Amino acid sequence: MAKAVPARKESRAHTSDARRNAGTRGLSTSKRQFQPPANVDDLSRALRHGWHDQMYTWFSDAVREVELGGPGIDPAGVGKGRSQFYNPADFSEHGEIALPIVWSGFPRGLVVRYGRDAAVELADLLVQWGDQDPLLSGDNPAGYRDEGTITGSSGTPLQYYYRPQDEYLEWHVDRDPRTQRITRVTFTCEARDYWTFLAANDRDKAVELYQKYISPEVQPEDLLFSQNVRTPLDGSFKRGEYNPWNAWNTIYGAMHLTHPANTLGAEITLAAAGTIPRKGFGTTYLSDPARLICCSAFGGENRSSDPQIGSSVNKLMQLGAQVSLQIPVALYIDSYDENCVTDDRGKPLPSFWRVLRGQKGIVGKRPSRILRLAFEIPQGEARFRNSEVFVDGKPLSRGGQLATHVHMKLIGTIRGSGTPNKPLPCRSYGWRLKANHDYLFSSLTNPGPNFERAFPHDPRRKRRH
Amino acid sequence: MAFVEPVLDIHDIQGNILNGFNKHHQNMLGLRMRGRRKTDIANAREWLRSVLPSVTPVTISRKSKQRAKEMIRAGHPVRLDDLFTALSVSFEAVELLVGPTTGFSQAFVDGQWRRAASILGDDHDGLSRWKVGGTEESTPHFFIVLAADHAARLDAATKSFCALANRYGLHVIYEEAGAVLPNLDFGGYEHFGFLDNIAKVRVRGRQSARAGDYYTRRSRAAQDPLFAEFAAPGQPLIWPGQIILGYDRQSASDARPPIPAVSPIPSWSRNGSYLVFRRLRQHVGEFRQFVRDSAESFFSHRPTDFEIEKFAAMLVGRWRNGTPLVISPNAPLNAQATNEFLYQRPNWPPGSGLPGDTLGTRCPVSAHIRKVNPRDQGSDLGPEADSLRRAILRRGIPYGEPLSPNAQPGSAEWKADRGLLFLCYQSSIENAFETIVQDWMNSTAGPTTPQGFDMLVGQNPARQARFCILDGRNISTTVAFVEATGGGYFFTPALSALQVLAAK
Repeated sequence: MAKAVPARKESRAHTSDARRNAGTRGLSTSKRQFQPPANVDDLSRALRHGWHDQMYTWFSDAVREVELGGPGIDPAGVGKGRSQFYNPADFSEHGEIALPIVWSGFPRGLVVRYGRDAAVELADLLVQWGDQDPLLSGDNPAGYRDEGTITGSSGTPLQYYYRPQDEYLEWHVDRDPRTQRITRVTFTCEARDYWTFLAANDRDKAVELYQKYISPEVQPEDLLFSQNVRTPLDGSFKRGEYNPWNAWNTIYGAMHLTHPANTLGAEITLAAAGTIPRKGFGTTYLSDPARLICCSAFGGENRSSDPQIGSSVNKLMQLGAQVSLQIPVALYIDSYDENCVTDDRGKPLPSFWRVLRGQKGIVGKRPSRILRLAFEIPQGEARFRNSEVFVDGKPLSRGGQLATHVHMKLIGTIRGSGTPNKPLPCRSYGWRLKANHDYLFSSLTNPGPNFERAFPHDPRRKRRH
Repeated sequence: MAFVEPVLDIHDIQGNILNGFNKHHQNMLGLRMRGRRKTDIANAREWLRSVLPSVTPVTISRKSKQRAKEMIRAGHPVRLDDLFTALSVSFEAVELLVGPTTGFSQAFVDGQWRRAASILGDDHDGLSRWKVGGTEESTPHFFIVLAADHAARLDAATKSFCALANRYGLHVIYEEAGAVLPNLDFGGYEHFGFLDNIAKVRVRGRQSARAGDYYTRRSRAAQDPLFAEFAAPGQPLIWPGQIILGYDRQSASDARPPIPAVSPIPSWSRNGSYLVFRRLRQHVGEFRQFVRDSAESFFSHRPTDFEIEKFAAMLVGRWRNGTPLVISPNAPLNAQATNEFLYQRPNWPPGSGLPGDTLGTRCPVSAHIRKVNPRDQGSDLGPEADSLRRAILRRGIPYGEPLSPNAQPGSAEWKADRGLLFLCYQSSIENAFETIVQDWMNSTAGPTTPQGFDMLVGQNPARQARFCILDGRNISTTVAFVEATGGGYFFTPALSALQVLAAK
C-alpha cells in the first residue's frame, strides 16, 4: 500500500503551527476506519487507509493533549488515562449515541463588530492575505489586524485571498455580468485539510472535482503553487504543491473552506478542548458558552460555532460520559431554510435550492450530511432576469443574506458513563470592549485600555497561573 | 458591579406594552382609511385626536393590576370597571399621516403578509383566506385593543368606538372578541388545555429618579446573588430597550450589563414598541386525536389516560397545570406553576438537588417550551445571554368557545373556529419574534440539538410532515394544530407620538 502524503492540521485558535506527523497508526490497531467527509467516494482504497491514518493520528494527539497538556487545549491536562475525549476508531459503534451540535452559518463576529447590515456587506468580500481583516480589525488588542502575508521565495508578498467567513461555512457569489444581479450562491463546508490530502495524493481527482463543481476550464497547474511560498499559519509550500487559496477556490469559486480557522483539525482540537472541565460558581462546572470559551481559550469568542461547540461538548463531559465526534468526521450543513427567498409578493422559491455534494437527510432514515449547496435562479425563469428576489424583505444582493438561513453542524458522540473529571483553573479570562459589551476577548492579562473585565459580577477566583 | 437602570417614561408608554391589560375580555379592532385622499387622511388625524385621551398609559393599567392583585389576595373575584385602550399603527398609516419615513425596521415596513410564507412558515396560498392582514389592502391602518372585565361594558364601548371611527370615514375591517377561557380553576389556559404564558421576563428600569424605585418589584434581597438577574424566582430581568425603543438593551454576551441605548429614528418612535398580532386558529380536536394515536404507538400499547397526558406534556414541556417536566417528569405537582428551572445546569434552583437534563431525558429537546426558550442551553445564535435578546412580552387572549371533552369528530362544535389572538411586544420583530418562529419553532435544527419541529405550534414551511424525536422515537404528522388565519405587524407609539401622528 502506498503511503499517503499527510494533510496539514491547523488549530482553530491559531495557537499551533505544528505540522503533525501522519500515518503512524495503521488500521490493524483500530476497531473502525475513519471515512472521508459524508462518505464521499473521492478516495481510492489506498487513500482511504491514508485518510484513516491521518485522522487516527489527529485524534490520538488530541487525546494525549487532553491528558498531558498541550498548547491548543490546556497547559496541564487532566492526567494520564483520564481523558473524556476518545478516539472513535478505537471503539465499535455499539453503545455510541450521536448528538449533533448546530450553529448559524453567518459570521457572528462580523455582526458583533459592525451590526448586521454592515456585516452582510463585509462578509462577501475576499480578504487578501496580509490586508486588514474585518474579523480581526477594529479594537483587536493583540495588535494584529491581518492574518499575515503569504510570501514568495524571495520574500515578496503574494496576492492570495481567503473569505472572512469563519463559521465553517463559506460561499461564492455568481452574478449576471450585465445586470450584476445574483444568479447563484454556492456554499461549501469542506475542510481545507481534506482537500490538501486529496490533491497531494490524487491530483487528477482534485482537478476532476474542480472541473465538475467550479469550471470545466480549470487546468491542473491552476491549482498549484507556481513557486515556493511561506504562509503565516500553515508553514511552507513547495512549488507544485496544492494551493488551497488558488484563484478557482477564491476569486472564481468556492471548492472548499479558505478561512485560516476553518479546518477539520481545528474541529477536532476544539471538541477535545471542550472536554476539559472548568470550575463554575459554587459547586457547578462552568458551562455558559461565552464564559467557558473565555476561560478555556479554545477558539473565537465571538463566533456562533466555537463557543457553542465547546460548551455542548463540555456539558456532555459533565455527565461523566466519554465524548468524541461521529465517523465520518466532518463539518456539515445540517439544514437550510429553502423558503427564505421569495418573489416580490412574498411567495417562497424553494425549488431554487440544490444539494450538490454530500447527502440531504431523510427523516428517520439517514442524517443530513451536506457538503455543498447552491441557491440558483434557473436560467429559464425569465421573470427574474429583470426583477429582484427577496430575502428577509430585502432584495438579494449579497450571499451573506442566505448564509443567515443555513444551519451548520458537527455530530458529537457519547459513550459510557462515569464520574466527570475535576475542574481545572481557567487558562484565560474574559475581557470586553468598553465601547461594545457584546465583543469578548480572552486573555490572561488586560489586553489594553479599551478593555475591561467581562462578567464583572461573577465571583472572582484566585489565579493559579 | 451595579448598573444604573434607566427611568421609564411610564406616563408616555402605552399600558398594554409593559403591564398588559389583564382583563377578562379584549376586543380587537382593525380600521382602515377610506382611501389615500387628503380628506381621508385629515379625517383619520381628526379621529386620532378624538380617541387619543382614551389610550391607556402604563400608569393607569398598572394601578388596575395592583388593585386586581389585592382583590385576589382578599379572595374576591376580579371584576373592575376599567376600560382600557391600546392603539397601534401600520407602516402604511405612518406614511400616510406623516409622509415618507425612514428608520423603522424592515419587518414593520414590509408588513406581516409579505413575510408570512418566507419567515413565519405560513402557507402562501392561504394568505388570501386570512380574516385580516393577508394582503396590504386587508391590513388595518390602525389596530386597537379594547379591554374590560365586563363583556357588556366592553361591547358597548366597542360599538361606540366603531361608530366614532365610521363618522371619521374609517372602515372597520376587522372586529373580534377575545376572552379568558371559562376554565376550571383560574384564567390563563389556552384551547389545547395548557396553562399559558407562565415564562415571563420582567423589564428593568425605575419609575422615578429615586434609587431603587424599580418599575418591576424585586422579591429577592439585594444581597442575594440572583438579585441582579431575577425580579423573582424564575422571572429573569431584561433591559427595557429589548421591548421599548430608546432604552438600554441586552448584551449578547452577558445578561447583566446593558448595551447603551441608541436614539431611535424617527425620534418620535421613542417609548414605542413593535406589536406582532397573529390570529392563530387552533385545531383542538385534531390535536387531541394526534396525542391519543401517537401515544399508542409511542407506548406500544393502548395508552392509559395518564399516559396520554404524559405524551401531551412531552410535546409541550409542561403538564397541563404548568408543572415543568424538567422538575417533575412523572406527574404534575399541585403547587403553582413555576418558571424557576433550567435545562442543563444541575442543582438549579440552588439547593434543589435537581440533576441537569442535557440529553432531554426528562424534558424532550423538541418540547415546545424548550424550542422557544432555550434558557441555559445557549443556542445556534450565541451564548446564554444572547437568548434573552429574543425575549418578547406576550399579551394574547383566546377567542372562540372551548371544545368540550366529548365533542364528536367532524361535528359543528369540532369544526368551530377557536384559537388565540396572539399579541407580543418587542423592539425588533426580526431579532425576537421572527427569530423564535423561523430559527427555532419551524426549524428542525435550532436552537440546540436537532430533534425536530416544535410540534405544538410550529409549521413545516415546506408543507410536508412535521416530526420530532421523543425518547429516541420519531413522531410525525402532516396536520398542523395551529394555523395562522390573520395577522399584522404594527407599531405601538407613545402617547406623545400619537400626538405627532395626529397633528400634521
